[in-house]
Amino acid sequence: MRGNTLLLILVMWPVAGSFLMWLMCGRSFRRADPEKDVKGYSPVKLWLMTLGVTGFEGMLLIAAWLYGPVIKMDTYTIGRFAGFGLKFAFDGFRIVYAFITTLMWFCSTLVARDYFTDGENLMRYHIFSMWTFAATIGVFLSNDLYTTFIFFEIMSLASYAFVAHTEKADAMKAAGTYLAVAVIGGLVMLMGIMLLSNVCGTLNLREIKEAASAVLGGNDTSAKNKLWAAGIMILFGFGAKAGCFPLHIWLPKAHPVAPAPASALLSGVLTKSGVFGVIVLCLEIFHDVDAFGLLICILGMFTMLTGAILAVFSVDLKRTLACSSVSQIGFILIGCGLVPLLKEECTLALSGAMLYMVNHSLFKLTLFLCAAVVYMNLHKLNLNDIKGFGIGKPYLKVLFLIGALGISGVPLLSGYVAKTLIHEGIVEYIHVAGGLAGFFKVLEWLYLISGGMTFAYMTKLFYCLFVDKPSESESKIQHNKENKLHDSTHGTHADVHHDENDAHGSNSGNHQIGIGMVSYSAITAPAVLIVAFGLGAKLYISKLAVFMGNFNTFSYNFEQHEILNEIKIFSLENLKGSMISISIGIVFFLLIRKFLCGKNANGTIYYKNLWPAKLDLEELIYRPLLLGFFPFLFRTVGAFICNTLPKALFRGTMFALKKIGHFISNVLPKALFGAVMSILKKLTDLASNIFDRTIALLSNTVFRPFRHKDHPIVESMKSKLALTEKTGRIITSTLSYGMMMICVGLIITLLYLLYLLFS
Amino acid sequence: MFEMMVSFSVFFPILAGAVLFMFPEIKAKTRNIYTFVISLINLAAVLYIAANCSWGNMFIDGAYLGGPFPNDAYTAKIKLMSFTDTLTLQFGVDGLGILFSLLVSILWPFSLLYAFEYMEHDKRQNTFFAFFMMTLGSVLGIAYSGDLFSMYVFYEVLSLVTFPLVMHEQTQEAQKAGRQYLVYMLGGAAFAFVGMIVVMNYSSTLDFVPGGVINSTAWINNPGLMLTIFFITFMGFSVKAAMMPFGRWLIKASVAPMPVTGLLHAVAVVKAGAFATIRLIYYTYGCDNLRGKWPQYVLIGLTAATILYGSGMAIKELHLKRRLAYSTISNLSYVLFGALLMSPEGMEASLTHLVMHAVTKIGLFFCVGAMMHTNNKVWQYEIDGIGYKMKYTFAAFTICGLSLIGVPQLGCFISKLRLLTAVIDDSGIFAYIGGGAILLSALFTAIYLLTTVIKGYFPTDGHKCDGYDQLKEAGWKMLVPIGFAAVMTTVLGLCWKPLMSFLGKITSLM
Repeated sequence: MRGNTLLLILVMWPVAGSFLMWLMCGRSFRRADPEKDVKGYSPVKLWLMTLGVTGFEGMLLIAAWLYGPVIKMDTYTIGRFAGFGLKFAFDGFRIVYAFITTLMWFCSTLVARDYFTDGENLMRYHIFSMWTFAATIGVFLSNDLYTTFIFFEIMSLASYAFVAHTEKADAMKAAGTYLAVAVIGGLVMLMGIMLLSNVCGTLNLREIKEAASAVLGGNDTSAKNKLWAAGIMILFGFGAKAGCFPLHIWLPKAHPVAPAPASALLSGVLTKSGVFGVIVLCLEIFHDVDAFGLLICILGMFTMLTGAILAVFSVDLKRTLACSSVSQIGFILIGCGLVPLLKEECTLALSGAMLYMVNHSLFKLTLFLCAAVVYMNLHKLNLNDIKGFGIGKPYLKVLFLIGALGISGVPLLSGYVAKTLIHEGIVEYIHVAGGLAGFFKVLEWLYLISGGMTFAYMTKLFYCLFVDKPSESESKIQHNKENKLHDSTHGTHADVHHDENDAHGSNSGNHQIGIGMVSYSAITAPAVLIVAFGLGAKLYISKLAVFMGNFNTFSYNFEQHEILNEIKIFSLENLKGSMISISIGIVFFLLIRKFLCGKNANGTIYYKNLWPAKLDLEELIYRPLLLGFFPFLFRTVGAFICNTLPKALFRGTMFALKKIGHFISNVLPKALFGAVMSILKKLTDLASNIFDRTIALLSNTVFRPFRHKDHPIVESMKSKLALTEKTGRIITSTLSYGMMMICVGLIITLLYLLYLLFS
Repeated sequence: MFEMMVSFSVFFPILAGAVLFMFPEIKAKTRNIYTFVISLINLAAVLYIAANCSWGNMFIDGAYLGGPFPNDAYTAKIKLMSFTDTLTLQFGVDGLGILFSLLVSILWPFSLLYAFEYMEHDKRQNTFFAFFMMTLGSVLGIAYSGDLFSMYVFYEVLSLVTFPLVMHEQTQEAQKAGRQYLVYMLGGAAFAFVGMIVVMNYSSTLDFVPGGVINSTAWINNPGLMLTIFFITFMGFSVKAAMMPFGRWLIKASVAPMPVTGLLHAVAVVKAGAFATIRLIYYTYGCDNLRGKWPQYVLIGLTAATILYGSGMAIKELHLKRRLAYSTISNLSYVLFGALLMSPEGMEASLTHLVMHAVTKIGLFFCVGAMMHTNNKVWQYEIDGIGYKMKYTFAAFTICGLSLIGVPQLGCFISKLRLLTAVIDDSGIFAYIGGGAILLSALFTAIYLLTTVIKGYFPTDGHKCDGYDQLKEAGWKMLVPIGFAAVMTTVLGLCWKPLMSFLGKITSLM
């Protein structure tokens, strides 16, 4: 146990805090209700406690930051924990992301009081929120892939409570998807980590670069293959959490059903923990492997496009934001992928990717909290139900606009900076790409087009919320139609849904909940940061990006430092890229208005859901494969082997035994007996014939003179002699004959024994 | 004294159980105290054996602190009687035996405690507890057997004393299950018997010696015969471990009362099968002789198929107890798979999973039993929101469930990690197939256990189950064993170093 002990406290404090919350708030999972005399927690007290815990975590962070240089150590290691040890570090990237995480949790919690006005299960929400918080901090601080893995799994499981919070059927289904992706990702990642430790001999992030280089530079092909397999598996795990194509399926499902403050966290922070892993892979393990960089770039490209296209077609506020997250992660992945490709010249791409992470966290915080404001008033998210909500709310309008324009990469806001840096990285690689130049040229254009699509769908949301006129009656008709559709598909829960929707409908029609200053300040904080980072772009790059560049063994050297200091972010060249992107965006936006919207009879606009419901990667491939095909395959094959086969084996054996037994015990002895008897009969017949004839011959020749004609015995034999003449035998049935045969047998036996004795 | 204790720990429970038959009118309370005290005495005896055997010190210290390594441990045999000069009934205490005997006899008092509550309304409790105690003796007999013949004898005894427990309910279904159980068990033992005869012919002794006892000439002259006989014997022993294609009996046998299913069909009987296969591979044939031969590949294929089959069926099964029984089939094949890797690492992983799964699965079965007994909830779809009423039971179920899935730092995570490490060390294509099956099966495990957990804590749309308000928590006699299992799976997951160093010593002899 050595190093900066505050790092351990940082990770443990929210968990301890959650128990404290539980103890201080009545030790009950039920909400207090003075009218019904139910004892339990008071929501406001719980909220204040959560804020306190999160705020204290922030103070701890500052303390840890200051304490590190004092003891000249930025790591912390417990060797003995659970046999594997826990290792933490606190360097540039980690410090920034720990702060961002804490900021996001603080803002999200601030909004929670207004958001959960009528909800149950708040204790559960806040406790799991704190556990997720602790685990996320743990992931970002981890200095050892095993430590990362442990906190990663805790994070995945604890955040389940976010997605399943409302306990509605669709939420449960989305939560199931979320959990399945998390579990699969975790398992595959574990296998990868084990392989990696087998190949490299270490999982410490500060040592692994050397070990991996040694393996990749060595001659052992099987070790190289193993390292690659390990890399792909680890990428699978982190990619699943980041929302990388084709594992992005959980994002568009989980975000709309989770409470909005939690969506902000899921999208803003939890996906970044996946990106954290991808950065580790690109920067440490495969830092000079072109193929890996290319793989990440291609995955990033698909992710970027899929997200953007889904977002353009989406007609749900939070779903659009979720798809947008997928798309933005794609941008970040491209930045990461360029790192192994550009090697020493990766400065712009890497700093771009890291700044993009920060930006995206802030954007999504702002936007999802705006969505929270919409939802807590209307309890609806469909664009047709919420259009015109923001008319007459200038403050909300400004905040949303900052988020929307920031994420679209409009100059003077922070999004522009990171987007430009990654764009620069792509352009830089085109010059040195050689054979791949063509591909990267295409990638550059796709990058700009996706940026344009971002602009288009964000403008669409903005128009919907703040420009389009609301049409209460229209939306109600629309809603009823949907209800009916819902009824026919989900027969059992139909009545419940109906009641709920009716209740909400009347609720939204009559009065709206006021949004407190607390909530607004929570949304304002990230918005201010977005503007500040955008205006102070120079400082933003030269200070924050350079600071974040200190990650594990990596840090920018002097020349790279200079590049970042010298870059002219508002040069004409860079502005041109942004302008192209925005022009494309405007074209897309017009196309959306033209093809994806229709006009009602009274002239208001409505949004068409043209995306075919069947075109869903999860419903089309994953669920049938994992829940249907594989279990079915194993069950049928298994049932055949376990059921039919033993039965058949048993019956077959029994049948065979019966037949064999019957044969051996019935047929065979009978046949044997019969055969022996007939042979014996033949033999005795033969013997007696010979004997009889000899006697007859003797009595007729040699003994003839001695024959007395009137001898009584001979007289008595007369009848027998007559019989002899008839049958040819005389004594087979007499005792003496039998005795004689025995004697013959004994003599033969004796002879045989003698033969044995003398041979 | 040591020799006496070994025989005592095996025969004392058998006799004590048989005594119960003589007092059919005994009061429930008296009998409970009697059986519990006997199991405690036996536990004391087993602990005495562990502490006094040269292996035991290491287990207690957690690390072996120098000095000559106790190689003599497996040569010191305790002869009971001789049939011929080679066929003797004898005990021999070594590391593997101590591990298994400790596992079983520590879990036994807790299972008894559980059974007191679970069986309280049963009419034939006397018979039940008599056979239950006799089972303990015969399992310990298997653990302490010094050679193949003795193990075979106690193996048969175990089949016979557990058979009445399976058909305890005496319904038609139970009788059918009991009949099937007997056919499978005795059939399997017959296969094993054939193998034993052949081993007798090709080796000078039947004793368990790390590295095997088969003559090297036999391997040179008759490799085909030896491998075929190994295959047959393995199939025979694996019937108890419920490997494909002879695993169905475990599902049918789940008609037995919960303590039987929980302790015998997740720990004692089935693990005795796995234990026997480990003895067979590592102590009779020798893993070096078998590695890379066709039986290894065929059997690894079968275990991989069983792993997937068990967890695939568990997803579909909605009866909670049978769901866990399928899960047991799957997990037993993890143990067999580890053993079949034919390497010290594989054996270590296999034994780790043997211990971890035992502790975890007994907890899961007991939780389900508590739901069945206290609230009459048998099916997966009946338990919406039960987690808020049966707080402790369901919390334990969640912990054990997470452990079985392989959530970091809970018991089964460690063993799965060991298995995967052994797979990577082996690096053969069949090892990777098995590893892949384990990963896929872990996903299935997550599906079938988490759906249950989620039902308990997150009732869909807030629909609570029928009679939600009348739900009761289980009594203390049930909660203590349940809590013990949950705590043990956590503790073993966090502090696995002592166990692992002990296992390391066992496997270092291979």
